[in-house]
Amino acid sequence: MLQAIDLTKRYEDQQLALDALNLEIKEGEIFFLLGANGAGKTTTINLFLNFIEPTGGKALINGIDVTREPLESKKYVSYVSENVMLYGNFTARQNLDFFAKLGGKPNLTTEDYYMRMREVGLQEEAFEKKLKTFSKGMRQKVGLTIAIIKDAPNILLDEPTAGLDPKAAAELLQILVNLKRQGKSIFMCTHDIFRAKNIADRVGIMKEGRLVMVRTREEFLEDDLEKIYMNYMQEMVIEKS
Amino acid sequence: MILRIASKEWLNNIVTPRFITGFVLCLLLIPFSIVISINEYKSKMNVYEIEKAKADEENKAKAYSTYRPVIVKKPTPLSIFARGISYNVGDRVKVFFGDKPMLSEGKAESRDNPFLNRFFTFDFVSVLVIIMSLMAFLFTYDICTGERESGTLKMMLANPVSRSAILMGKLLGTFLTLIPMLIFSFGLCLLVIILHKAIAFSGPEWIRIGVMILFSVVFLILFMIVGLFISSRVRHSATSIVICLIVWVIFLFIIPNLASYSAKSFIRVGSSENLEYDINSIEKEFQDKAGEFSVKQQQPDWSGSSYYWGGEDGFKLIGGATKNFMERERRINEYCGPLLIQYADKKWPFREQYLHELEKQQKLAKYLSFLSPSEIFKESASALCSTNYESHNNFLNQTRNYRELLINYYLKNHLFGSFSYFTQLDPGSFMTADELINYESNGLCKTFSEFNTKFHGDWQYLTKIIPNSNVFEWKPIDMSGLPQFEYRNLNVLTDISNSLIYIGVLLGIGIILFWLSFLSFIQYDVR
Repeated sequence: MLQAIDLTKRYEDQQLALDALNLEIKEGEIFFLLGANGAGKTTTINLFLNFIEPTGGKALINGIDVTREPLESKKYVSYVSENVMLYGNFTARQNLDFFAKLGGKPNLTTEDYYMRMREVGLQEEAFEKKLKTFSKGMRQKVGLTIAIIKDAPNILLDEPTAGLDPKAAAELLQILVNLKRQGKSIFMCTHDIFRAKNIADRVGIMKEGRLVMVRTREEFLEDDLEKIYMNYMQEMVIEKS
Repeated sequence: MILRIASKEWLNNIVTPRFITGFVLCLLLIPFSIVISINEYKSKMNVYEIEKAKADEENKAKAYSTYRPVIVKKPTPLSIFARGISYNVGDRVKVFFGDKPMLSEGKAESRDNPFLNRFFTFDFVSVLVIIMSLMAFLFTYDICTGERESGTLKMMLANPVSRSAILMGKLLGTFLTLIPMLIFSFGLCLLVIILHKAIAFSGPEWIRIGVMILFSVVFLILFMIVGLFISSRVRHSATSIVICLIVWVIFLFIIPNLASYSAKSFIRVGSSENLEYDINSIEKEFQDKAGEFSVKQQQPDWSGSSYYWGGEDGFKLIGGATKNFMERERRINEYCGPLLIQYADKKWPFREQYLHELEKQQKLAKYLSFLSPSEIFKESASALCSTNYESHNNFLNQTRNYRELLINYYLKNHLFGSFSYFTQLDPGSFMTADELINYESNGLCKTFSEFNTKFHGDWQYLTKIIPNSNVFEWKPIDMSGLPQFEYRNLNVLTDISNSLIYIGVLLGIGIILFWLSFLSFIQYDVR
């Protein structure tokens, strides 16, 4: 479970990146956070992962304050970034092994790795290949495998479908659905409104650091989500102009 | 966790082209520099052998007045590692009574081609400093920025692992990557030396080499920390490598040259011509005083058909002179010998002042160069190899002490006032002028006045020569009873403790920089 309570971040240049965010993502829920570039989506993830310190409020992972107990809180969260690079000179196995051990899974066998790789649609032949020979889609899948191996109850994804071809993106979303079925809380930042409509349980729209709208699946299927989102975007353009 | 990250870092590093480049650089440069150093050492040893043979010849004295021993310092084989100043200063000192040894003479390389100049001193330590500092920077410039740029830093920090563990792990991994290179360099160097066979190290010298290896580890760590510090202060690897290269050039090339130039500018040393002018005026005073004393002495009735060989610093050999003449010379020596020493003491403050200025200049240059860690390491290596200024100064001090010892022996044994100071003839065999004329004219004249009136002082009537009076034919006398010079190198422990000061400075800088890097990395923006 992920919780943001009045979570605020103001940078040193006084730019307000996140303004009193209040949000809760329950077990087995997929939450999509939409918003333009600079709206505060990645800042939210950075705060949950304690990459940056909040200037107000708090972020909780399974009830643990990430600022007070960063190491403890990170046991319960996995992360997939926008552009998974990993270690290009290492094979997929070496990358999986390193991050599995960092994530607190030191005793996994090759079979365990194979199983997780199959879950995300990676072939076993890829296991001993160097990451630098992988396509972006394959690297994203390795990144997702790392997140799955950690077996944390919460998964944070920062625009993981960016730059992926439609097939790879669809496969990735299917994996997320499978993870949801295992009871994982999934928090994903994206611009991809169409995929949000496909699998999200709830959708939030962020604008200039503020969460301006949250809709459940029933609500956003009833309303026209694209229209609502575009309206917010247009308002922002008008305000700026 | 630290070991896990270190092992990842190591594995990631050893497959990079820079790792291979490091080994190739070592493989190319180390044997090259060692072969050059060995050849230079051999050439220096050849010069030493020649100088030593010449000195042994020069040290064969025919009387005490001619015994002014020449000391030649044997080059240390450790100069192969760090030549320090040993190739810039001479190794030969002649011990005069009329002057304390100021600087050594001769230059080992003078027998080499003087028209060939070198840009750098290609000893092992200089090459090691260049390679290891460069490698340390190449492996650490992106230690923070590289992982940030590739996003793996975020991936790592998304796990229950602290930033300090990541930092320590990465640093340890980089250290484990570089240390084989350092060991390989030393191994290669020692292998080339052992294969050369001509050079053998003593037990204490092996200890010095061992300590030098340990010091080079400290040096390597320090440069790694400098690279880490730079990487932790910037966001992009491109910026970091540019700063690292600038710092590298400043540390290795600009500071040493600037230090030397600044020292020369800040501390002016008077010219050696001025010094010699002052010395000459004291010398003249001595000559006047000695001359005055000589004039006051009763003139001999006749010198005899003697052999007289005189030279600098009281050098005097006389054979076949009259008793009066010999007695007069003895009295002059008895007075002038100690006077010579007295005037040497008068000259010394001028020389000491000049030396002091040189030393001040050298010290300032040294301390200014300590702004560069590579110079601190080089100085510590020179101290360990006994090729630094202190070691050379120790040699000069020992020659000065030896001179005092020799003088004390002369004074204690009243050698200045003895006939053996200037002749090999038995004083009992000395003759008066009349006796000498009678002997040398083979009885034609009984007295000196008869010789003057009868033969008008014509020497052709003096046909008989006193046996063994030709000073040029005298054999050298045994001087083994006199104090002999024995060079004592500074104790290993003394040298190590002297070097420890430098290494302490390196460690101090390292700890401060590491702490600052740690603080930077704790607050490092991973986005």
